This record gives sequence, C-alpha cells and structure tokens, in this order.
Amino acid sequence: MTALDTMTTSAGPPEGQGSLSPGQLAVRRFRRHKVAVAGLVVLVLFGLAAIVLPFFLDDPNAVDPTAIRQGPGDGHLLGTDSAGRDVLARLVAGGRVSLLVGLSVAALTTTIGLVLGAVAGYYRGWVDAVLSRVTDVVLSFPTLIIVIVVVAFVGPSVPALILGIGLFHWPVAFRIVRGLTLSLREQDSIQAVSGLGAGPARVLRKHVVPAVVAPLTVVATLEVAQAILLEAALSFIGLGVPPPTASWGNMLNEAQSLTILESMPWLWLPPGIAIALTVLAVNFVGDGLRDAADPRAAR
Amino acid sequence: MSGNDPLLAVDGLVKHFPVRGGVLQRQVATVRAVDGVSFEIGTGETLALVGESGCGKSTVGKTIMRFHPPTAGTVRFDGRDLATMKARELRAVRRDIQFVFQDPFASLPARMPVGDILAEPLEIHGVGDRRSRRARVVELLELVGLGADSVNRYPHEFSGGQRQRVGIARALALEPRLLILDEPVSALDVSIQAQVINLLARLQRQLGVAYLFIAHDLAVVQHLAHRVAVMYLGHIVEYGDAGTVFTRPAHPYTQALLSAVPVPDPRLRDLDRRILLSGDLPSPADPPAGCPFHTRCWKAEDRCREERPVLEIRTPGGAGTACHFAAEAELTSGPAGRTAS
Amino acid sequence: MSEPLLSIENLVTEFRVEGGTVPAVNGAGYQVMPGETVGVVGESGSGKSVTVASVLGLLPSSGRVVSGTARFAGRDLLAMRERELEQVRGRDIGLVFQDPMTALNPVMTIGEQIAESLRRHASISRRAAATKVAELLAEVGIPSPKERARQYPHQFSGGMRQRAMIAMAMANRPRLIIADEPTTALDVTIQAQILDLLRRVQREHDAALVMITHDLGVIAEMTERVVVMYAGRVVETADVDSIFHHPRHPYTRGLLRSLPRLGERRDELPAIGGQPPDPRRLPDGCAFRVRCDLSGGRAECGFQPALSEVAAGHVSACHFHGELAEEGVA
Repeated sequence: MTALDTMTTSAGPPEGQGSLSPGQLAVRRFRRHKVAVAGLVVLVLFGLAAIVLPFFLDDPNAVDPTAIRQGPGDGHLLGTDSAGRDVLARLVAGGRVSLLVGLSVAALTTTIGLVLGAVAGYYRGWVDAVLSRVTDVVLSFPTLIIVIVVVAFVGPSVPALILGIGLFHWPVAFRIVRGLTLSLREQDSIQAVSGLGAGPARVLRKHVVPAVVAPLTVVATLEVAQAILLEAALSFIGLGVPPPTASWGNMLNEAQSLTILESMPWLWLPPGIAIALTVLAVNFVGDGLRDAADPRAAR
Repeated sequence: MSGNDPLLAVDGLVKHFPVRGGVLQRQVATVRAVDGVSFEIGTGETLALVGESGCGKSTVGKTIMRFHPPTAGTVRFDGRDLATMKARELRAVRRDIQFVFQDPFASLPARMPVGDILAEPLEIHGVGDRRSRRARVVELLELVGLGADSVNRYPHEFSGGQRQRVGIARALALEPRLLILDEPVSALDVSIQAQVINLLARLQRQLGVAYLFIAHDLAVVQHLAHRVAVMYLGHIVEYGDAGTVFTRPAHPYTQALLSAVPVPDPRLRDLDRRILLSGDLPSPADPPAGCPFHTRCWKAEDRCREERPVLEIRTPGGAGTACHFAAEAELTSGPAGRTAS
Repeated sequence: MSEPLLSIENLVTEFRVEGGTVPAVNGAGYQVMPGETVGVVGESGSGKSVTVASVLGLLPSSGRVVSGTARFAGRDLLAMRERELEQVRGRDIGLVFQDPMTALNPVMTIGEQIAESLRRHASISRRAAATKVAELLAEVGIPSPKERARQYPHQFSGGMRQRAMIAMAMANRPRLIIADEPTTALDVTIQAQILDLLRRVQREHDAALVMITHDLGVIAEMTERVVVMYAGRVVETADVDSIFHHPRHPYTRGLLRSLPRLGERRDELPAIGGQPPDPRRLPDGCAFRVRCDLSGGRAECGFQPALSEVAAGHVSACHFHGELAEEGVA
C-alpha cells in the first residue's frame, strides 16, 4: 500500500540519540553489526599474525631437503611443500604480501578517486567532462590484461603489482566521489559555507572530503578484496609475486598438479581458505561500514 | 525609503535556468525564474519578498548571494555591483551579506559541534585568534538565546527552533549589514515560530542589520516587514510599505493572496471575504503573454492578454502596482472586518 | 446522542529505537460522531499523526500499539487482521495525506489507481469503473477528467494531485475521511481551493472528517470540534468556538496568543517558551509544565492532570483550568 510510506515518514520515531558525536554514533552502529565485527576480528588477527608470527616461525624460504611434501605433523604444523619449505611459514609470509597488496591498492585507488572525483564534482563543466571521459577510457581496459602487459615490461614484483592494479582501478572510487560531490554542492550545508565566504579549497577540504570519506571506506574494502583476489590470480598464473617470495597465489600455483590436488590437501587448502576467509571478512566489514555510514539504517 | 543611498539596489535582475533534455542534453526550454526584478533596501530596514512557490522569490535571494550567477541585471551593494564581481572580491563582500536557510536541519554541517560551526566564518575571514574566536562564539550563542554550554553539542542534538538560532548566529558572526532570510520560520513548529520572529525583530533593533525577508506566510511577514514586494511568476506585481500593501492592496493577486490566508477565528469563517482563484500557477518555463496573472484573474480583459503592465510607482513613498486595472481594495485592519471586494 | 463513528481510548503507542523504546502516544483518545468535522491540532511530537496511524494499522515496522481501544462503527480496529483493515481503509475510511506524490503510485495512471481502489472494494466492470473515475475526477474539479485520468501523477501539479487523492479517498463513499496535513505542502491560494473542495465533498457525501493539522487557521475555518494534543496526550477538547475564544488549557491559550495574525502588528509576539517536547525525555507529571506560564512551579504540576469536564462538552487536562475560566485569549 502506497499510503503507508507517507504515514511512515510522518509518524516515524524521533531522530537523534543523546550527546554523542556523529562519529561515535557510527561506531555504535558498526558494533551492532555482529558479522562485520567478526570480520574485523578475523582481519585484525590475520594482520597481527602476519606481523608477529614470522619471529617465531622458520624462514619461509628455508629449504629442508629431508622433508619434502611432508604431511602436517611434528616440526611442520601444516607440512612442507615440494621444495621442503614450511607451509605455515609461507602462509604467514604470503598473508603479509596479500594484505600489503590489498591495503596499498585500496589506499592508492581511493586517494586518486577522491581527489579527481571531488574536483570533477565540485567544478563541473569542462573539468568534469575531461575527467569523466578519462575515466570511461580507463574503465574500458580489462585490468587483468593491462597488469599482465605492465608486468611483462617491468618484470613481476610487488610494487609493479600494486601500481598495475591501482592505476587502473580508481574509476569506481572516482564515480562514487564525483556523484556525491555533485549532489553535496547543491545542498544547503555546502552552499551555506560558500555563502560565508569560503573558497573552493576550504569547502572541499573541510566539508566535501569528510562527507564522502564514510561511503568511500566501503569502496575501499571492496578494493582490498578485489586486489587480494587479483594478486592471487596473477600469482597463480606466474605473473604476480615472483618466487621465491611467498604469496597465497603462488602457493596455489605450485599446487596445480592432479596428484597434489588429490593427495596433498595441505599444500592448497591453507592458502585457499586464507584467501576466502580474508575476502569474506573484508566484505563483511564493508557491509558494516555501509550501515554505520548511513544513519537511516535502523537496526 | 531611508536616507540617501540604499544599502542594496537590485535593478532589472533576471535569472533564467536552462532546461536540458534528450540524449545530447541540449537546451529544450528556459525557466524564467526571475524576469526583471528591481527593488531597494535601506540600512536597517526590512523588505519582505512574498509570493507562492515557483514565483522566484527564493531565486532572487540566491542570485543576490551569487549561489548562481544572474542572467542579467545589476545588484549594487554599497554602490558596488555584485553581479559582475570577481569570485575573490565577492568572498570579501560576504562579510557584509549573509544568508539564513529555510531548513535548519540541512543547512548546518552535521559533523561539526556548534562551537566550530560558529567559529567557521571567523576562521575563513581570519578574524581574531583562537581565543578571541571562542569568546565571540559564546557571545553569539548568548545573542540568539542559546546557552554557552551548546558549544560542544552537535546539530542533531538540538530541536528545529534551536538549530535555526544556530543558523542565525552563524550568519551574524561577521556582523553583516544585510541578512537574506529565506523562509526562516516556515520549517518550525507553531509555538517556536513566534520565538524566532521575536528574536529577528530584537536583533534588528539591537544590531541595525537590514533584512531581505523571503516568505510565503503573510501573517509572519507583516510582523517584521517595513516594505513588501509581492512576486508572481518572476515579476514583482505590487510594491509598497507594509501597512499599505496589507490593508489596501491594489493588485488583484495581492488581494486574492491576502484573502486566502485562513483566519484563526471560527467566528469569521462564514464571512464571504474569500477570493477563490481558479486554476494553478502557470509554468515559469512557459509564462503567459501579457500580464502573467491574467490566466487566473477575474478582472482580466483583452488588454491584459497582450500588454504586460509595468510596475508603476504611484506614490512618492515608492509604492507601485503592475496592473492595468489596479484599484485599492480596503482590507480594514483587524481580522474582524476583513473583506475584499 | 447516537453512537460515535470512531472512538479511540487510552491509546499507547511506542517506537523501537536504538537502545530502547520511545513513547509516541501516551494514552490519547477522542471520538468522532457521524458526519462531524473534528480537528486534531498539535506540533511535531504531539502524536497527532501516530494516533491515526496506530488505529489504521499504518505504523512503520518499528512502531507498536501497546494498549488502548479503537472502534470504528462498533468494530474493534486493533483486533482486525491486515486483510480486514485493508477493507476498512479505502472503503469505510478514506485517507488524504500531506504529500500525494509519495502516496500515489508513480508508475500507474491516476485513472488506474482510482479504478483499482473502486474495483478492490466493489464488484464493478472495468468500463463502469472508468466512467466512475471520470465522474469522480470531475467532482473534485479536475478539468477534462477523461484525459487527465490517463496521465501519471508527475504530470499533475501539487494542487491537482491533492484533488486526485481526494477523488480516490471518496471513491467508495466512505463514512469517514481522515486528512493528515492535507494542505501543508500547498500554497495559500491552492490551499483555499482544496479546503473548499474538502468541505464540499464532505457535505455531499455526508461523511465525517478528521482534519489533522498544525495550522490553527485551517482548524478555525474547517472544523466543528477540536482536539488539542501535546506530548502524546489530549490536553483539551471542545467545540471550535470555545477552543478559540475560551481555551481552558494554558498550551491552547499560549498557541493562540503567539500566532501572528493578519491585520494586527504587535511589537512582540507572546511566544511560548522552551522547545517542543522530546518524547524521549518527557518531564514527570504534566508534560507542559516546563513551558507553562500558569504553573509557576506549583507542586500539583508534578502529577499528571486528568482530563476533566470544565463545561458541557469541554474537557481540559490542567490542574488549574479554573484560573483560565474568565480569561479570553488576548
């Protein structure tokens, strides 16, 4: 029934909830999102593991010729790989690389998207037209192929991977920021600040950027997840993180043969689960952030 | 009209908005939101711009602020034309002209505590140091009747009326000489409207600031305005001092507008004083030829359909009516005897 | 006297919010007689809209009727299932909302929507419904109704949309029309047209009308009896003349005094102090006492005043209504 909507808006519960800042209220909304909190816990644990565990584990590149493709057990908690390297140590080291790539790409893409999007949305006109066309062009490149080409020229390395993905993945953030800025600049709260005599720099810095940061963090989580998956895919086909450096992708790469898949699950199950868990956790956190950023999401 | 040179002189102000359509976003029509508007405001006085939605009154205010650039006309403030001023110069003039929005919920930044909101104009114009700005913020809060403890609270913790007080305080921070008030009380509860109207009247007495008061509620306007300009479809149709316009309106539209206001007294409801206009406001994208009001006017004749009446100044006080058949209708003061022919 | 058509008693409604519940209606009630026009006036947070939303089953999912009774023509509205309520709404009770743009379906023509409402409640042919739609649109003053019936809501102006809403509300000859701020979004010259129309259709259909509004001018022009609400309660009820000329509650009196009126200019409007009630932090006892100019901090005001009859058909919820007996509004 359509009439219900009107009643809902006019008869809705009152807003506002005591004397907390909007930021604190957002934290409260996030904490109410149980799955997101669980995702955050998983990510923090992974992050801590990636930082702390290497001090207690074997060198991930140390070869133990006496223990090749050994099953999980004494000495090697998750067994060893075809070169006799400790799988747990490589898993942790790979996590470092994956999280590094994911976070760096997210930081890079959202920064580029934020700056260009805010400028395009605020100035409109030809500035917007040029930036939007550039975005369309960038969007029309298939990222995977671009990164393969880049890597083919400069050789596989973690920085090449980050730049390759980052420089072609910012249009998502750009479009979101541009759209938000376009609508923001028409809003009373932004017009009011221009009316006070603030120049474009101040309006953008103090009012537009803080307003788009919350929705942008949601985009950032998606970028983290995508970058981790892309890194895994590229490493899997041998164009990502160069061996012997461990990454979840090249651990899977080394476990391609049928015999390994059938009889040595400790070689591919740990990195596979790690990738799935991380991506899932990042996406859950993204969900929670989206609700936290939206005060209307009643829970 | 007070004194020699007016504080603000708007002359022939025009604002057209292009309407774009189709795949190529070509201009398909023009909305003539403001179509040649002139008026003056003297120091410390209140001019009310009244009319119904779509008449262009808010656009006039926002065009003076240069929220959008005017299509034609001049806006002289203190003798300098704001319409052609460069952005940098304009920013400096903001100290003297400030704007208060209708919606106290949407016009304050939600992420800032009230102290920062009020300090922002001072920061922008580099007024004082941190400490003196703090002191000024407290002074402003007290000026608009809010406690100094509001400094650390956020807009969402205030009621609508209190937020509008914050909006007014922010507009007064730089001690402007002109305040443009765009429907400042129409989003507020009835019991709060009176508080804010009283506040605005007191601030004008205390600070000598001039108001351009944009509103549709005639009873509210009457309480604050010295002079009134009635707008219809982008034109001023009647202009004069508040007493004359409200008691002896000469334009048929003003007469109908005044008669349509519901009177809060059931004993007067059966008096046959209402002029019911037929039809809706024509679209400003396709305004009628001749007099803009002729499609709804009971006095309209052939001449009105062809020739647009100009705003004629009838008295030395500057009163005028844009109607070929203008005739004052006595609306005797006091609700008891309000009848219109 | 005959039976009331609509009777609401001791209604309590609350909303779930973060960290608890907030009361929106705190024991409100009023009655509407057949054919009568009742005005319900109050500010935001007074519960005037939530009250009718509660009894018509139109609360948002976070709202809940805690207790109370609501009877329409002898039937218990609060005990009805959703299907039965749907039958009542639209057939026995016609609804007119503030914003027809959100109440109307944007992707159906005006004609289709009115026809749907006709056919849902009565078995008539498509053709008969189309004829009836044109009649209804003509009745509410929409020019060239046959053509307009084929248009979509966005092709109508605000005033025309509200006319279409009224046509829809009247489609099944309801015995009661509930209009929630029907003219608040409209300009005064259009408001005058719509009020005129509401009066006319009500008279012609001999329906009762509940007019919910914050505008005392509209109340004075339209209604016979007035219910004044504050903080989820009814604080005063009387015939319209008594409310405007002999109010017996300080809130009603305060509202009337603070009103700017055309034709009289005062230096200072006698405003009611303070802020509208925050339903989450209502004061103990009389909710109005913190803004009341009559209370003077008297101990009685710490207790909730009951509604008491101060004159025939005139009730007030104020401990000191006697002190207002001799005063006028001015």
